[in-house]
Amino acid sequence: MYKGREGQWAFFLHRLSGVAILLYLILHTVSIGSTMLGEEVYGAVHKLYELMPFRLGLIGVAGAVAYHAFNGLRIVAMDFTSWGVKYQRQLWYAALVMAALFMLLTLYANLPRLFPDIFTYKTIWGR
Amino acid sequence: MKMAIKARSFRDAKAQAKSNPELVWWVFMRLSGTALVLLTLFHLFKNHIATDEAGWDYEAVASSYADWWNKLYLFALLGLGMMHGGNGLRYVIDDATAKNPVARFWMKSIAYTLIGAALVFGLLALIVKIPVPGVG
Repeated sequence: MYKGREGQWAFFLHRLSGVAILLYLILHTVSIGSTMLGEEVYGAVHKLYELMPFRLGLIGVAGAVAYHAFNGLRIVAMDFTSWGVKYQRQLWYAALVMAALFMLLTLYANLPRLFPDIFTYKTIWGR
Repeated sequence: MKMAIKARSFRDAKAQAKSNPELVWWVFMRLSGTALVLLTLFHLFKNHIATDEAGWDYEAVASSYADWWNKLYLFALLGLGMMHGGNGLRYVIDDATAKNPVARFWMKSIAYTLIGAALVFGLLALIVKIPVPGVG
């Protein structure tokens, strides 16, 4: 077992992000799956997704997913490699940086869509 | 008492596992987790970064369901995601209710019902034929 500040935070954030992602997965499955109930039902559900707090929240979900993914790889490295436990602290900071980069990429792609009057740049893929 | 394995290697996990299924779940979390890293991050990149999330209206979703490779991809995401998330929540509930079996029973009942219902709903949406407007 590892002890110390980083390990505790990594564990806590992994569980918090995990529960949040599961909650979103359930909502997302119901909202996207509602296509089978017809266009009107889907349209009514999708209206909620167009609300600003929801669309901003989605960027947070992307960040939570990215943290959970990269910290999950750190856990796999600790469990299945000879060097994982020794470098778990460094691996955690690497996971944080990777998650932040993924969230920034999501933000970069979505700011012009969310606030077209403020962010007028074109993303590198032009959409 | 049933508790999540807190090992830091497969050998330790094997020694700590109270039951065989518990060890299978321990291995499953790492295997499914690794697969989900790739599946989920690419899914997010494709649908939330490279394309506008607001563009996913009924027609776009119905058209994407017509692609069987996409359906297979979503099937893997849904199945692995719900199992990985459901088992993860079981660990969280077990730890949070270590001294309260009644709360544990109710929390698990509610959690499994919600997850099971969403999983069945999602699977149905992948199985049922959804008409694409203008195509029939």
